[in-house]
This record gives sequence, C-alpha cells and structure tokens, in this order.
Amino acid sequence: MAASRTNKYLITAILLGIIFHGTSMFYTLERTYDALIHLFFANHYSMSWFEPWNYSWYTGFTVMGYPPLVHQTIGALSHIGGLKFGMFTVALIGVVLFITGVYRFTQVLIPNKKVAGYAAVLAVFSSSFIETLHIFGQLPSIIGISILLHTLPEIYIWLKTGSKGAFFKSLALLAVTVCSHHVTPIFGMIFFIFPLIGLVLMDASREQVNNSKEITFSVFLKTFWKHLKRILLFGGSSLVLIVGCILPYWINTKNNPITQVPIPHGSRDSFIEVTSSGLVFFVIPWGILLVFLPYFFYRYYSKRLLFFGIFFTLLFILGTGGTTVIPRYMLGENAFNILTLDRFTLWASIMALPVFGELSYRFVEGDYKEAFQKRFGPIIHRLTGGALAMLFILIGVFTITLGKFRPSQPDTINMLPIVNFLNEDDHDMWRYLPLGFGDQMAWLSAQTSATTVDGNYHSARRLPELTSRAVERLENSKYQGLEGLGSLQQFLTVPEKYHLKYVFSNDKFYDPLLYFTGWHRLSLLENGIMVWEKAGITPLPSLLPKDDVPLFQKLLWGIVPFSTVIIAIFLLLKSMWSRSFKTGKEYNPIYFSFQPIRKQNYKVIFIVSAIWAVILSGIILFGVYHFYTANATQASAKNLVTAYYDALDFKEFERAHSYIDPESDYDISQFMLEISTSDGLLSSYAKMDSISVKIIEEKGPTALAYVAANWVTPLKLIKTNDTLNLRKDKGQWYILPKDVDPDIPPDQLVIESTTSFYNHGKRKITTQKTHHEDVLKQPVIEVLSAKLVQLDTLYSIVGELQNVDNIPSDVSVTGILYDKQNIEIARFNAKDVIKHKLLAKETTPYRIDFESIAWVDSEVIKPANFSIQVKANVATSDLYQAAAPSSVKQEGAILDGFLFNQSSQAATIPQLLISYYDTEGGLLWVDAQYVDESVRQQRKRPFSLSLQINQIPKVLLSSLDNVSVNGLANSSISAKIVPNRNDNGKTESLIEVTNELYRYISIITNSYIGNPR
Amino acid sequence: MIQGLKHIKLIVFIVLGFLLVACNDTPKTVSNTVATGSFKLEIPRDQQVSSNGINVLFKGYKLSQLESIKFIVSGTFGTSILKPTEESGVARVVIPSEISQIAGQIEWILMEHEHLLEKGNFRLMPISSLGTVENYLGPRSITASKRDNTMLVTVPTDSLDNMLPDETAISMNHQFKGQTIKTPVKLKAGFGWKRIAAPLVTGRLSTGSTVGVISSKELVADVFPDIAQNFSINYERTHPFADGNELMSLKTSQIKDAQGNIMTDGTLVNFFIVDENNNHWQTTSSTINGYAFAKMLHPELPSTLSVNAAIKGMAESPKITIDFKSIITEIPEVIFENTTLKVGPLTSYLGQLVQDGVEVELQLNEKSWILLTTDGYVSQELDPLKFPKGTYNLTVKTLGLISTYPIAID
Repeated sequence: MAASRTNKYLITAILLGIIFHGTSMFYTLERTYDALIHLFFANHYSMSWFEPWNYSWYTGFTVMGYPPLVHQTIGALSHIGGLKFGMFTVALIGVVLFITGVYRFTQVLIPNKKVAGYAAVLAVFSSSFIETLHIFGQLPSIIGISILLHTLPEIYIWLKTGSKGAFFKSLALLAVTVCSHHVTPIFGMIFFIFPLIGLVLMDASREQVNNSKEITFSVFLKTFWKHLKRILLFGGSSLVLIVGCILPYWINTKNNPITQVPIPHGSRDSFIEVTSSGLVFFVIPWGILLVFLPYFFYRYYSKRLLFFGIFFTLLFILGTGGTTVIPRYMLGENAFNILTLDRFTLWASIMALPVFGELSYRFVEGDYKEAFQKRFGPIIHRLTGGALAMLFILIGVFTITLGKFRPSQPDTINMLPIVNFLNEDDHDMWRYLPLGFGDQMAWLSAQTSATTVDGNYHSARRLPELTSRAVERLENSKYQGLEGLGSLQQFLTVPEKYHLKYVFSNDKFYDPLLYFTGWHRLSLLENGIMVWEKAGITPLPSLLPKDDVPLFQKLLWGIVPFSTVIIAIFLLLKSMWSRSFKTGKEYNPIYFSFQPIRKQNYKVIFIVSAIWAVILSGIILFGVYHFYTANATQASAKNLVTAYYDALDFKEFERAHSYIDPESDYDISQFMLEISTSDGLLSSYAKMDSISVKIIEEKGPTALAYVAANWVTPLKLIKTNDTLNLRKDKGQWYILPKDVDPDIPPDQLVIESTTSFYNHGKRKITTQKTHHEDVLKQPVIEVLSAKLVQLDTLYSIVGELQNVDNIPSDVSVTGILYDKQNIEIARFNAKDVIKHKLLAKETTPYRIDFESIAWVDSEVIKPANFSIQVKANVATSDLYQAAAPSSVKQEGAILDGFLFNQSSQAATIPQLLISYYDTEGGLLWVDAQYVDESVRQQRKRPFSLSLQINQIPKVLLSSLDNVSVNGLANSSISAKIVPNRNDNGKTESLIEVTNELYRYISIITNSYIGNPR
Repeated sequence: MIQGLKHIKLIVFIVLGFLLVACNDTPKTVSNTVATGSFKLEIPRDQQVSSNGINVLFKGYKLSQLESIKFIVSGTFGTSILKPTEESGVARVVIPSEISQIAGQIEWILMEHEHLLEKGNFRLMPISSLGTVENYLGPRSITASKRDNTMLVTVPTDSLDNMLPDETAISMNHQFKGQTIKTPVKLKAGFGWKRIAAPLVTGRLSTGSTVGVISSKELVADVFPDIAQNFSINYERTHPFADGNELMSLKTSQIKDAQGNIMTDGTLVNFFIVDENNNHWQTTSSTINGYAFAKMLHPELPSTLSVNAAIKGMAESPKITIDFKSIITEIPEVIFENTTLKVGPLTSYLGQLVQDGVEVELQLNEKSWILLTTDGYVSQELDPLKFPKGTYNLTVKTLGLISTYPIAID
C-alpha cells in the first residue's frame, strides 16, 4: 500500500460526489419533504440561539424536540450567505462526510484500501443515499449516520488496542452524532456498534488461535471477558453522551411525551399491497443491491463478519415495514407506530456498501474477473460489467429525478407576495393558515414573524384538536380523508379561538369549505394564492403563553452541540491533516492485519447467483406483467371504465376522450366544450376515493358498465352511480357518449341591476388603529328563535335569525351549553348550516352541533341550559342571490324540483338550507344539502333530495332568554328595532309535507360562486 | 487530546459562570438610624397643572441624613417614591412632570425609613389653555323612527390632556338637512352629552361641538329607514304561454316605511309562488330605490300561479294570480320504426317548434323514460330483448297533456 499514498478512488469519489450531488441538490433539495423544515428550525436558531420557544407553529412549541446541531450550523452559516446558503453548505458537508465515512467504515470490514475506494465511489451513487438526500431531504439523518461511520474505526481501535486517543476520538465523534440526530446513535448503537464489538472480539479471538476455524465459542467467550472492561467503559461513556449532550431533549420528551394518535406513514405499509410505498421505501433504496443480496449474505455470514451478518439481516427485515408482521412484533406496537421504518433500509443499504465495494473490486480487477473470464470469455465479462454499471447509474439518476416526474410537492410558490401581505397593515397580528402549500409552508414560516396554528413537525403538536387525530398537517388535509377535513373544519369553524384570520389557499379544493364556514375572499395575490379572511377576529395578545425551561437547559442546548464539533475537530485535526496531506509516516490501522482469505469456490457462487438471478427476473417479470394487465386500459371493459374515471379525476380530458367510441362523431372539441360548461362540487372540487365497476350484460361487442364511485369533497362524501354503454371494436373497448342536456337559456344577453358594497373605512394612510370615526357600526341581528334539541347522542341548537339592520352583515353564531349548575360544558359555532352573509332583512336558519364527546363524561353530564352569542360585522361580498328553488314538490322521502339561476353569476355549489317545522310552525331541525352540480346563468338544474323522515329531534328547551347580539341582549334589540313583528312571509315560505314527524319544511338557498365575474 | 480536555474545562467554567450570574440577585441591606423632627417641608398648595414638574423645598433638613428620607406621592395615575436632592444649600424634592401635569388630588407623605414625618395633600387644577375637544357619537347609524336616537358625547381637555372642570360651558351642535341646532351644555364630571332624537327622514346627521375657540372633528350618523310597510306587486311578461323558456319579471311597488322613507338599496324581498299542483316556487331580489325586481322562469305546464312577496316578519304584499296558457293543444302521433319510438314534432303557440329541452315522459307498460326534446322531437330506442313481440300501451306526458296509444311491436 506504500506505493500509492493517496487513494485515487477516494479522491475520485469525493470529486464525483461534489459534482453530482452539489449540482443536482440545487434542483432537488428545496422540493424535498424535510429540508425546508430543517431550514425553518435553522431560522429559529439564527434569530434566537438560546431561546427554545418558537411561536410560529402550533400556537407555540419548543425546538427542544429535535437535536439542534444541524439546525444551529445552518443558522450560523445563514449569517454569512442566508438560510439557503447554510442549507446547501451543510448538505455538501454531509455528502463529503458520507463518502469518506463509507471509505473508513469499509476499511474496518474489508481491510483493503482499493476495496474501500470502490465502496466510496459506489456510495456516491447509492440510491438509498440519493433518496434520503434528494427526495426526503433528511439532512440531520445523513450527517448523523456519516459521523457514525467515521466513529466506527476509532471504536474498533479503542476496543482492540485500548488506545486512549482512539477512545476520546470515538466519544467526541459520537457526541457530534448525538447532537445531529437522536435516532441514529440509539439505533446505531445496536445496529452498527454491536456488530463492530463482535468483529473486534472475532479478530482478537483469531489472534489467539492459528486459523479462523479454531475460533470456538469458549475462545470467543474468553476474549469477550478480556475486553469486557473496554466495552463497558465505552458503553457507559456513550450512554452518558447520548443522555448528556442533548439532555434538554430528553427532559422535554419526558415532560411532553408523544401521546398523539399515530400518523400513517408509507414505510409501515405492506409493500405488496401498496406498491407505491414498496417502490419508494424498498425497491428504490435497495436498487441494484437487490441483485447482489446473496453475495452480501454470503460475505456477512463469514466468520469474521458474522455479527454484521446478523444485524444486516435484522435491518433488512425491519426495513420491510408492514409487509410481514415481524417488524411490528420486533419493535412493539408503540415504537412501530412512531418510527419511520425507511431508516432501517437506509442503514442496511449503507451496511451493504463495503461488501458491495469488495464485490465490485473482485469483479473488476480481482479474482472474480479471472474466474468469470475463464468461464465466459472477456467480452461477456465486459458486457456484464458495463450493463451492471449502467443499471446502477440509471437507478441513481432515476431516483434523483423522481421528484421531478412524480412531484411530491406543489409547484414552487413565490413567497414574497405573502410575506408582503403579512407585513402590511399589521396582518401579522393574527394567525394565518396555509392550505395546499406542501412542505413549503415551513419556508413561509421561516420568512415571516406571523404565526400559524398548523406546523410541519408533528411530534411537537400541542393542540388537542391536532394530536387527537391522525392528521399530519391541516395544510394537506385533503389527502387525509374525512379525518383530515374534520380537523380542518374545526379550525375554520371556530377561528376566533386561535385568532386565525387569514387563510392562504393554494388549492381551490378548500375554497367551498372556506365559503360555507363563513370566510370570504379578500384578494388574489400576484403568485396566484387566494387570501381568505374571516371577519370579527380579535388580534393576538401582545404577550403569548410559553412553556419556559430553566436557564441551564437553554445554555446546554445553545453551547454543547457546537462544542462537540469543536472538540471533535480539535481531537481529529492531527489525523485529518496527516491523512489528507500524507505528511508523516503512513501506517495502516490495526484492522489491516485481518485480511480476508478468499475461498476459490466459484462454482457454488455462480450457481447461487444464477438461481437468484432467475428468481429476481421472475419477480420482475411478474411485476411487469401485472402492471401491464392492470394498465392495458382498453383490453378489458373494466379497465376501460376505471381508466376513464381516472382520467376524469386527474382532469386529463384528452386521455378521457380517447376512450370514447371514435365512430360516435363525438370530437374532442365537443367533449371539451361540455367539460368546460360542467362545474360544481362533483366536477371541480372532488377527489376520487374509490371506484367499483360492475360489467353487466356483456354480450359480444357491447356491454353495460355499472359504476359506483366515492368522491371526497371538502363538504361531504359523494357517492355516484352511473351506467355507461360500452362497445368493442377490433379488440379495444370504447365508451359510447351520453346525450347532452339540450336546455337553452331564455335570454341571449343577461341584464341585471344589483347593489354592490365596498367598505374602506375613513382612515388616513396610517397604521394607527381604531380611530373612532373609522369604526363601522356592527349590524344589528335579531335572533328569532333558539332551541336546544337532541338527536341520539348529538345535541344541537337550532333557530332562526334575521339581519334587521339596513346594511349587509356577516354573522357568526356561537352556542354554549351549560350543565345543571350553570357551568359551561361546551362551546361551538354554527359551521355550514347557516347562511353567513346576509342582506338587509334577510333571514337564515342556523344549527350548532355538539358531538357528545365535546365534553368529558358525556354519560353523566347532560346539558341543561344554553346561551347564544351572535357576532355581526359588515359584509360587502358574497351576497349573491343566485339560485331559486322552483317547482318544488315532495313525494315520500324525496323532495323534487329544480334550481333556476336568474342571476348573471354561475352558482358553482348551491346549498339548500332545509328547515323542518311541527304542526304549529315551530322549528324542529335544520339541515344543509348540497347540489352536486353547478347552475349556470339562466339555466335549470334539477335536484332530488332526501328528506329526513325517520327521525326528528327532541326539543329539550326553547328560549331566547340567554341570547346576545354584539354583546347586547336580544330582547332589547327586538323591542327597539322591530317592536311589532308579524308573521309576514312565514306561512308562504312553508311547504306542507305529508309526514308523521313534521308538517312543514322551508328552503333557503345559499350559493358558492366559484368564479365571481 | 490533553488540550481538548482543557477545552472542556473551559466550557464547564463558562457554563458555571453563567449560572452564577443568573442566580445572583440577593438584595443589599443598609441600616442606619435618623433622628426625627429635624425635617420640615414647605407645604405645597393647590395649584395649576404644570409640565415642568413641581419643586417641594425643605425648610429645615440634615444633610447627613437626607439619604434616608422618602417622599411618597400619590396622584391620579398611581404612587411614586421620590428621593430628595441637595444642591448649593437647598434641599428639595422634585415632583416630575409625569405626575404634575395630570389634574387631580395629590396625596403626599414624607418618611424616613419606617417613620412618618409629615403628610398632606393638594390639588392640581387644569389650566385654562384648551387643548382638544374629543367627540364620540353613537350609534353611528339610526333608524328614522321615534324609537331611536343617537348620543353625542364631548370630552374637552386642556393642553396637558386633563379634563376640564364642571360647569364649563360647551356648545353641542348638530345639523340635519340644512337645519342646524346648537345646544349649550355644561360639563359634568368632565363630560358633556346630548341625546339627539332620530329625524323621521332618512339622511345624514352631522355633529360637532365647540368649547370657547376650540372645536371638535365632525362626526356623522346615518339615518336609515324604519321598518317597511306593506306594498303591492305586479308582473311583466312577453307572452302568456307556459313554454318554460321565457322570463317573467315580478316587481314590487316602491317599498317605504311609515314615514314614507324609501328602503335602503339591498333590502331583501322574497317572492313565494304556488302553482295549481301545489308546487312551490321561490325567488328573491334586493331592492333598488325601493323597488325589487325578481325574475322567474315561465312554467312548462299551463297553470294559474298565485304570487305574493314579503320582507319576513315585517311587510308583505297582497296575493296576485297569473295565468299561463298551454302552448300546445294535442300531442302528435307516435312514430315507431326499427325499434325506435319517436314523438314529435311538438309545436308551440305560433306553430313553431318547441324550444329544445322540453320534458317528455314516455311510459311503456311498467317502464318509463323522461326525455328532453331536440328540434321538437324525442326518441327512445327499445331493446328487443326486453320488449318482445306484442302490443303495448304507450303513455306520453308533456306540457300538461297526456295521451295513450297502442303500440304493436313485431
């Protein structure tokens, strides 16, 4: 080894790594899942190094929930060139540390510098490393494992020789690992250091005997006894370091244990059932390594590396997630649900790198080459080598570009307009909520002082509304089904509780929900983000609560992590210097005396490899075949219908049109025209949840498909049942187009006069608040009725209210329930069963729901009284009257009729508020129903709604005694504003129905206008 | 390596140092006694507020014990402890401007350690130089009725922001439609106030007040109309035929309150319509200059509609009836060719084809279809497997007419 002092493979690897990762990371890192979260934490440290409390997320949380070193480093570097400079620098350091780490780690396992060099080069393109850096963006994890790899040689030397220098070096490096990432050292202890101890004992035992066959269990035990003191000393010290270095983290974990409902993660899926998870968490990180698995097991189960074999197997199994029950059984239910199991695969693939390097070395220039060439000739050898290298690089390139072809994040959002908006006119005095931002929400948080109720580090969530549900973020609740939307609805319904006033919507999916919970559009920012506002929310108090920690914790947190780096650099400076510049005498580390003895039994290896290759090819072929049959869309009628719905769901209309019978004279422009005129909850705001296709009446070339699909919309689940006529032509199935609604509107040109409103106050251009002359009077609302009713376990307050003022009003109604002792037990707002924006003299029914789980002990405590607080503010928008119920008749449980839109605005989502009355005309219940399709201007939209016929709620209490409006008693309002209220319009609005439980219904419409003109 | 250890030590020292500094806030205690009776003040008298502070001089003092003397002063905004100072032979306590510029009673106590030496009080009177007149008016919108009023409150202050003494004369003025009323009011407890009864006409009421030469800003209140009175409705349409494809306009008379004020623009009026088959129709409109215009689609079936309008709980119109005539007298013959049923052409009141989208219900034995016309026709293909040879009864329902035909399938 003396001839070439500098390992050219290592140099190549480092240069390749810097070029490959250093260039590509500028296109990938910001779109990863985690990188921006780390950036947010880094921003926290750059602003307040010693203060762990952060107000930005979750109404305040502590950053002591994550080891700080990487964040602090980025934060410190940000003062030189900004946060992103810091992030890229740290990522680059991570790349170099990883490559050199693999190099050093390989030398311990396979004491050969060339092999180590090969491993280092392979590490550059390791698909699991690429995935972790460029797809997941897990910087601390990368830094953690890289430093751990550097630690392992030092640990080996200490255990083997007892060198004090190595002891301190290993501890110093371990401390850096601990401060970078908490999970790495804990599991790293088990999966890397335990087998390393085993390796040391094996090597030491080998020295006792003449050849490795003579290492018996008793010899091993003796060696173990001899080394026990060193092992215990190291184990004890590292335990002290793991606890001590990030002591505040452990204290915080103890004080705020993770009691939340587990959040689903793809790495816990069954990879066979959920193939996408299998691809991301198994196939990609293993990549080409899967081909060589038998070799890895063969090498790791050699005597010297036996312990690595055992732990490699363990990691491999744990990395398979929920495919088998074994990982769940091994980790226990709790740990299984908290940990993300992809890290085990990452470690396993890193552990495989040394032997992979060895294999490559042997194949390229070692004994395998000779054996291979002898058997198959040099051309086959070169071809195989070239193909494998190509495949390896291709998988790397595929992995790095995965984020581009299958974007996991919304397009990059220009944050500047949002930051400007929040800075303007004290908008940051309220909380905001981003919707549809993906992980870029962390980047927004890093740039503004405004705070949000949401957040992007779910272990730190504090609000019970968040921790009690398996909802990772509110921001992407669309993807978390009903539970996610339920959680979001809670925040949108009671925003005053969180001082939540602004919502930034980057996904129009959420817009109907915002509208029907009483929010209104404020403006469209330059970057296409719609700002929604809720009226009447009080600003945040200037002093916010926080969980303070003792000073010593803050100091430890601020000082220790950086100190560990300084100490480590200080201790390792000499060896780093001599290793890098080859000054002084080069000597090989102690583990170089244990060169592996290569057995020349190539036949077995070739046979096993061949068998494995056959099995693997079989699996791949089966997968490809399965993929093909599932995706050969027009080969079967069922596939065709599924594909058609899929195309419609993803708005790929050209593809959808290609499934339509070409002989039906139904060209794409007609198809697109029909699509463009269809709007509404189902066609514009729904995401397909599930679909079941039944082919009935398949007779020769025709068939009838019965399609039942479930759609998730922000407001409700929609089940659609559809029948499609299919036709087969030359082996391809096609869909026959449906007839178009031939309805034409009465007028060519719609002329409409309306009243519009604008509120700009009387304020000068100044940020001074609340000039008396600028305060607009709150509109006066009168509550006409209020009743506490019970339906099964659901308690509700229903009633009617009227805007008795002369100006339009935005209304929010809060209901409060009290027990017998008049102690408040629950409080909630009217969600969507109310019309929030009322014209002068307009009336709306309302309903406030209280799930019986809203208060503790719902079995014992029953609500005995209630009160209502109405808050009204001047409304200037969303006051359209765009859909009129026409020709309404009841037949049994069905209410039939059509909506006619007389206005010049298309009613995108019409809502019908249906009130149920008893024989005396007393209100019993209010219900909101949505019509799935829009009503265009001057068009009809037939509806058929099912009435609530089986059950009508029990009225517990009817009273207007405890009703206040804008802080005034409701009774004083009715006496002053409408002293002689009569029944005008009441009997006419009632529609008599034949039913035993109730006698009348009445209908009020409320339409969401998706695209106001 | 050893140097590294030193480094750790250094850090430990720094940490410990920090901890010590953080914990070290033990109060200092000094004790010495002072002979009483040797301190005498020039008692301050009632005076006007001042922004320069007030000097309270000592008539007699002992310089050596001045340290232990405290002057506790309690004013409108709170209590402060002041220390005497000595300068060129004169000892004094300076009451700072923060206290001396706020009018009100000042209580003071002179103490040495725990012993009370002297106490007293004096008043600070607002100065005559006026500062601002601040007005408050509320509610800022009222209804033109005898039940409503708004109140103007005036708070004049001196240049140091003190309220003026009682009985100060102010003039509270308001204007409505050119008519100005000035009311002289005397301040009481710093405030002057006046209830302004709501005018019975809509408009804008402006207010202001003056104290001497100083005036307030203008504040205004809007007078909105009172509750609407009953009104009448009428309708307009292009033709009386029930073709389901024309708009009829329903309109109200000008809606006014009891005093004849026109309703504010944007007041909602509901129209309720019931047809002969007891089907309910609704439409809404908001008023413009008191008139509400609502549009309604002509029904597709001939019917007499009964219409009324209401502002809920307040006012309504009498019911009117509107007749719609059928556009067709009989359903044309059904054509049955090659398994396809075809009905048409349906024609309208001029003999023209009916507009596209007219609903036609076909019923063949138990099976029924609801179809929409295109170019006057509807057609339905029959599955020969479901309808084998035989004679069937076909019922056609459209535009209020029903016909039944025998159909033979062969």
